[in-house]
Amino acid sequence: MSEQTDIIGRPIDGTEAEILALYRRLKAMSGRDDLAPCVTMNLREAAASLWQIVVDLDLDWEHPYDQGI
Amino acid sequence: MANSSPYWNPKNETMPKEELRALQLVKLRRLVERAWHESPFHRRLYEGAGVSPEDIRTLDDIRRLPFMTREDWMANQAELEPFGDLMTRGREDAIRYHLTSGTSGRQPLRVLDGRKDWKWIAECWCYGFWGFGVRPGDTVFFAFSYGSFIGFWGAHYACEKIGALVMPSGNMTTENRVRQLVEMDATVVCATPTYAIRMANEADRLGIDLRKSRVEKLILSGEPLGAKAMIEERWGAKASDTAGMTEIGTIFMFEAAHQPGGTHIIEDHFIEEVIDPDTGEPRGYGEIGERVCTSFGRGFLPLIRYRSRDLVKKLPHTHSDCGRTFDLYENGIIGRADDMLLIRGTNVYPLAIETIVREYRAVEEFRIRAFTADNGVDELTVDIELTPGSVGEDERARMVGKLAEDLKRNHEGLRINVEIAAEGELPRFELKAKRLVDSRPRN
Repeated sequence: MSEQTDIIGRPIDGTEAEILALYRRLKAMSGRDDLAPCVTMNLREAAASLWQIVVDLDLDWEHPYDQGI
Repeated sequence: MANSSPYWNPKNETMPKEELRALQLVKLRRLVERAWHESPFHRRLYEGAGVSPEDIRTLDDIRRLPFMTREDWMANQAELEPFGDLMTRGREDAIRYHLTSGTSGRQPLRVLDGRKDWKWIAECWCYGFWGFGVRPGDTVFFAFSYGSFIGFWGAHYACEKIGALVMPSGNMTTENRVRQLVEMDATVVCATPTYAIRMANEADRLGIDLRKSRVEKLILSGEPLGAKAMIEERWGAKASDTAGMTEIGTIFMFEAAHQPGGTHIIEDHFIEEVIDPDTGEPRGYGEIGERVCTSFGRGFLPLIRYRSRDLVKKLPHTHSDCGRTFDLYENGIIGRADDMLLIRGTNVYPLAIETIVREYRAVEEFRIRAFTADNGVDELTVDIELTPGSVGEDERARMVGKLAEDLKRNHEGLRINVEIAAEGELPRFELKAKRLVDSRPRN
């Protein structure tokens, strides 16, 4: 998927792009195993919430269990 | 904007239909691809049918995929205890364990969910609660036991997400629930239709007039809603019909605030087909058939073309003028394909009987008994239990006769017996009611 479109090819706006970037950063951090439990688990909670927005807005569709989400 | 929007997800709820279908196709293709690679159950199912992910090019290609049935899933869990091999992940990745209700007496299904699945389960409930007008500032009372049955668990978290004040009532008696929801000024009550009636009966017994309470909205789920008008009248509140399944973990449809006579399907998260329950062939708008569900959100458990046995009648989104482009089910779930009784050549649906029985305010509880009489003839009897003191002795025979006549008139002249049960004789229910007892010999 292009950074500029959602999963059916429609352009995404600035807010959506920001949400997608936030999600991807949180997802990457959620997969780290060098952080304290309070950091990792809350990151995963936050990432799961961001995942929900990303799916609701059709920005991506995936199941990121490998990152603990 | 947030609180003034009538839609939880304006982007998708009002999306042009062709874009909605494109979205469903993208999700379907990815879902099938994922199931093929990560769910041995689905791989076997699809290889057996000679179909692979590459065959899904259009939305109509969904019909190339075989149906998935509860029986297959149950057999799979029995063979590979405890969870079978439908799941895409191991239990170490799960955060929740739940069971189906086992209403029909069968072995409950065991289900697991991951962290994001649980967010999604709450999210679908948010579509319904928000769409019916629940907002921050509401006080939502859950008449629910919070056990292994998934029931209203997701709805609870949805209300927290919305920002409403949530009041759980897990271990409370019915009396305590009624007292608390009134004393604490609940504005929304969530329950099964059966339990909403039971609470109304209890309120009568306590001398509490629910119509004078702060309750404005009832969110009802777990059973077909055959007594909506009566429930709304007794509570003095609007009722929203919703329906879900443990197999998907959440709801797939909801009734919006303007009550258009049907329930919108959450079509950005589900594909809902309607088929002939006997032939499997698709049925069009306005035709009654069995709903078949494909769910996009629950990653642990790919549910693709799942036979629900629920009977529905789909209407185009234009039936409603709320701006949503999601299709509707007229009057929600209108029955169960496997609940239909054949009595002396006439089809009888328990929900149709309930709808008639509920017109009689004095009936507190009822039961439907199908049995074979000594002369070998199938009989159908409706046992009714009356609210104490509601009908005088001299009036009972007349009421029984009138109810029997109403039932007969609505069932092609079929004689249906009506008998009065003793006070406290019939079972009471909190979740899904089991009012049908069919003791006829099989075959």
